[in-house]
Order: sequence, then structure tokens, then C-alpha cells
Amino acid sequence: MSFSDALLAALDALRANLLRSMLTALGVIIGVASLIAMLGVGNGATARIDSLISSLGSNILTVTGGSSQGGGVRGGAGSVSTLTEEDAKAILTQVDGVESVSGLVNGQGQLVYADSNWSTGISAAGEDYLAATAWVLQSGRLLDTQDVKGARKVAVIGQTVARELFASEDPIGKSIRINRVPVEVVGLLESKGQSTFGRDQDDVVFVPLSTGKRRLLGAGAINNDAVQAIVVKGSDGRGLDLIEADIRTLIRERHRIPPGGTDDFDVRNFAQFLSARTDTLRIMSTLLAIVAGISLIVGGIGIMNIMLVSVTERTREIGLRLALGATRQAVLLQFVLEALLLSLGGGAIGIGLGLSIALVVSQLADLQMAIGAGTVLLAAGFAAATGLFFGWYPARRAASLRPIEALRRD
Amino acid sequence: MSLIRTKGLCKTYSLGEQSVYALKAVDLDIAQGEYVAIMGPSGSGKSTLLNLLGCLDSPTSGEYWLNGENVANLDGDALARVRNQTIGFVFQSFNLLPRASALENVMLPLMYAGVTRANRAPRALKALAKVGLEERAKHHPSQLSGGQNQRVAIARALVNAPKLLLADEPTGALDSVTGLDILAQLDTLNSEGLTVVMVTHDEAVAARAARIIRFRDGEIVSDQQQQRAAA
Repeated sequence: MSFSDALLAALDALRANLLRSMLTALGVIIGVASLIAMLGVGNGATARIDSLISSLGSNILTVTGGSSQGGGVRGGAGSVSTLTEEDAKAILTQVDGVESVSGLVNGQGQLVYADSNWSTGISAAGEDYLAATAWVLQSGRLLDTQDVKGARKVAVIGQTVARELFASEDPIGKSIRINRVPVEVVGLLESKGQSTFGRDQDDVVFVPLSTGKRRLLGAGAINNDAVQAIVVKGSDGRGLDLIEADIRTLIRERHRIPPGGTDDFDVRNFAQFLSARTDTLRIMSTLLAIVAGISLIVGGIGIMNIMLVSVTERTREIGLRLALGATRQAVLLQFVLEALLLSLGGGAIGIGLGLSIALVVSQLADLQMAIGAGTVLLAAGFAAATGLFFGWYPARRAASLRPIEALRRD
Repeated sequence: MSLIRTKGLCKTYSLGEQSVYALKAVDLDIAQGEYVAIMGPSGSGKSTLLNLLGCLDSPTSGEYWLNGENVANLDGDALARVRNQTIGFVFQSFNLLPRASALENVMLPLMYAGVTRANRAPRALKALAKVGLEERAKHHPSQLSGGQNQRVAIARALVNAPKLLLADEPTGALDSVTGLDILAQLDTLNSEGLTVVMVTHDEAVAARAARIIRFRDGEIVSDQQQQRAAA
């Protein structure tokens, strides 16, 4: 009896009880489908968060001002916005392991070019800001030290702004008006896409910090030295948490906050925040994996159950096959293949179902689905292992029947 | 040369604490080409003997040479080979696979003999032709009469060209006319040189055999040659 003979016999037996076979395979179908969906959606979401983290730039701390609300402002009296460019300089010179710092002031601006106009966020930042926050230049140039020192009227724009103002025109070298001030576009950035919070990160204009504060965003709003935030890029050599602690100490000192007083600033590590979300996701994925594992086991028990029933029902057939010269291995092979076909068939359907679920979820949640051949093979492997494990015992039982006993039974 | 030779063939079953002798030291010699009927009341051991002769069961003690080979102590796979190559079985209740066609049923022993797929159908068709059923090769057992089903079973028994045909009440499930038809088939096969050993409790059926062995309580009580009844 060749392998293909055993395969045909197994297929035939499964076809004879089609409904029963389908129901038996259901457990494996559900198990494999949830395995696939779990891996697909989980990997997709993790990949997305990873790309978001890298889009934030690595080793970035953001120091924001004015978060002390009313309580501890007595010591720091006199400043409206608590952080200054002097704070930024102090961080760069006095904290170990700091690669670059940039002051940041955000504002709103009305952009005009020819007969199109567009309202968007204006970020006025130091020359190191764009590189530190992982922006990539598509054409033109980034802002440099000279731009900041000289408060030059230049701007680097994001993809959305370019599209809205220039359509298909090349924006480099063009003059636009930002809040009525003529500014030259010197650089176009590559797209970063949406942020975690759904904001369009490409709808942005970057100008030198000095230009923004003095000419574009209205100097009256904040004093000349103040910044809304300081973006700090740490070097790889020193841990961000150490740098963060040093920055806290330094700024508290500079702002003369007494021991026990509340900080009038905040230091955040967004990457860490996003990593926490990855952990949440990992827990979800683990739960789904457990569900998948349990239904594979339940499915396997279902297969074992039905195979045992099938062996009992077909005792006479087994006896006849033995009488006609079937070896024990031939009977064993036939029944193991039956269980294996059940689980692999269920696995195949489950893979299809899981892919559809992952596809729908990724459409709804706007996630990249990440299902590789490895994932599919893994799922198929689990299904096959289930069939083998739970099909072995019933098949052994069939193969160990004595022909005389099997034939005698009705 | 004797095809079947047993020496002190014993089979005991244990029922609780006491053992029951189904067969007590049977010595038997059946030559090639013989037509033997085994008779006896139920429980006399005739079915036990048939199972042992058919290598479906192993004796508790004793020797059994089949076609010159001592098969009493062979392991399961070797016995499977003997059943496949040397013996053809005909059962009272046909024992055909209901979901397989006549042809597929007849091809079953060829499959276990390792005959390639391409060679199975021609050989099975030849065996079906021998019992006059080549026209019904595609029919399933449910579409055939009892007599036709038993002929399919005979074709299945013949397809591997065995030395020995073992029939267990081959006409037991058939009406008398159809039964005669099957017996005629067995006569023909025997006249062509096939050794036939048949278990029956029907004297009229046994009358077709050239030799009748009678059993009682696990022992042979008579063993005689007889004039065969005409077909």
C-alpha cells in the first residue's frame, strides 16, 4: 500500500461523513484563524508603533514649560513661559551625554502662495531640531546655523503643505507669505504620515527659531528669550533616564525651585510612552495566542474523539482490510492520515479565515498587515502537529485490532 | 504434496479463571487441489480452525505448515503477507466495502500486495470476468444482488491468485437457487486446481465437497472421502 493509496482511502473516509468532518475540523479552523489573525494584526501594530517611535527620532527628550499650574510659581515669579533659550544652552553645556538641543516655539500661520492659501502649524526651532526628530529631506536643504543666527526668512515645508500650496509645482526657491511676511522655501521634507494620535505630521512648516519668534509668530506673545519646549537629543553613550534626571536637577536649580517645590516644567520621553503601548499590545497578542492554543487543543480533542468513534464504527472494515493483507503500518497510516487531513484541512480553512480577519481589521484600524510565509507555515505546522498528536492514539488502536476480533464484531 | 499440514494444533480461550479448549490437538493434512467441507455444530471448533487456517488467529500451541512454510509462529506483518498472497477469503456476509465499487473492492488485495495502480484495474477486471461480473464493475454493493455480491467477494479472493480458498458459510446469506450458483462457481474453481476449504452446517452444501471433516468439542470425529454430488 503506497502513501497515495493511504491518502486516497483517508480522503474517501472523510468524504463519506462530510458534515461530521467539517464539524470536527471546526476547532482547528478557529484555532488557526485566531493564530493567524493574532500574528497578523499584532505584528502589524507592533511594526507601526516601531515606525512611529523611529519617526520621533531616537534618544529624544522633550522638556516642556509651564506645567506647574498655579501652585509653585512663587519662586519663579516674573516669567510667563518658564523655559528659555538660556535653559537650552545650559542643558547642552552642563549635562553629560547631550548631543544637541533645540528650542521650539509652535504657532499658527496663514500661508499664501500665488492664489492658494493654507492655514497650518508653524514650528520655529533650532538648527538641530529636524535632524534630531528624524525628519528626512526630500529636496532642497535643511535649516542651518546661519539661518538661525541671522533670523533669515527661510522655511522648510512638509508634504501636505507643499501639496496644498504648490500642487505639482516644485516649491524649492519659491517665495511664500507666512502671516504676510515673505519667506523663501528652501527645503521639502519626506512624508512621515500620521502620528499615533491621528494628526497629519506632514502638515507643518519649519522656520528658524529666531525668525519665528521675531517675525512670524508675534513677539508680543512670549518674551524674546522664552521657548515653549526644548528638544534634547541624547548621545548613545548615556542612558536617557540619567540625562533626564540631570536635566530636572539643572532646570530646578536654574529656576530656583526649592526642595519639595513643584517643577514648573516637564520632561517627557515619547518613545518610552509608545513602548508602553507596545507592551499593552503584546499582552493582547499573548491573550489571543492563548485563545488560539486552547482552541487548537480543543480542536485536537475533537479530532481524537471523532477518530475513536470512527475506529469503533469501522472495526469490521479494519478487520476486513487486515484479512485481505493490510499490515498494521498500512492501517496506522490510513488513520493517522485521516486525522492529519482533518487538521490540515481545518488549518487551511483557518489560514484563509485568519487572513480575511486580519485584512478586515487592518482596513478598519488602518494598520499594515504583516503576515509572511513564515506565519502561514507556523500555523500549518501547529495544525499538523495537532492532528498527529491527537490522531496517533486512535490510529494505534485501529492498527492493534486483531483481524479475527474485528471481523467477528457486527 | 500437502498444502495444509497441522500437528497438535491447539486453541484455548480463558473465560475468567478457567480455560476453554476451542481446539484440542488437531492433526490435519489437506493436499493441493482438494475440496474439503468442515462440519459440526456451533461451538465445535470448526470456525476456530478456519480462523487458524486463514492465519487470522494464532494457535495457542501446535504447528501449522501452509504451502511448506511454518506459519504458526510468524509475526503480524508476515501473517498479513501470507493472508494477502496465499489465501483467499469468502465470508458469509460478503464483507465488501459499501462505498467502493465492485472493481475497487476487488482491487483492495492488490493494493496491499503493492501492485502499481496502473496494473490493478486490468487484473481486477479479469477476476470479475471469471465470475461473470465484468459488466458490473462500476456498481456498488448496494446496487447488486446478494449472489452478485458474493461473486464480487469471490473475485476479490481470487485476484491475487491464492493457493487456498477459505469459505465460511458462503451460501449462508443466500437463497437456495443463488446458493447453488455460488457453489457451482466454487466447483469450477476447484476443478481448475484451487484448493477449497469450506465451513458449513448445511449437509447439501457439504455434499459438493470430496472430503468431509466433522468436528465435535474441538476434535475431529470423522474424516471421510465421499462421492461428490453433481452440480
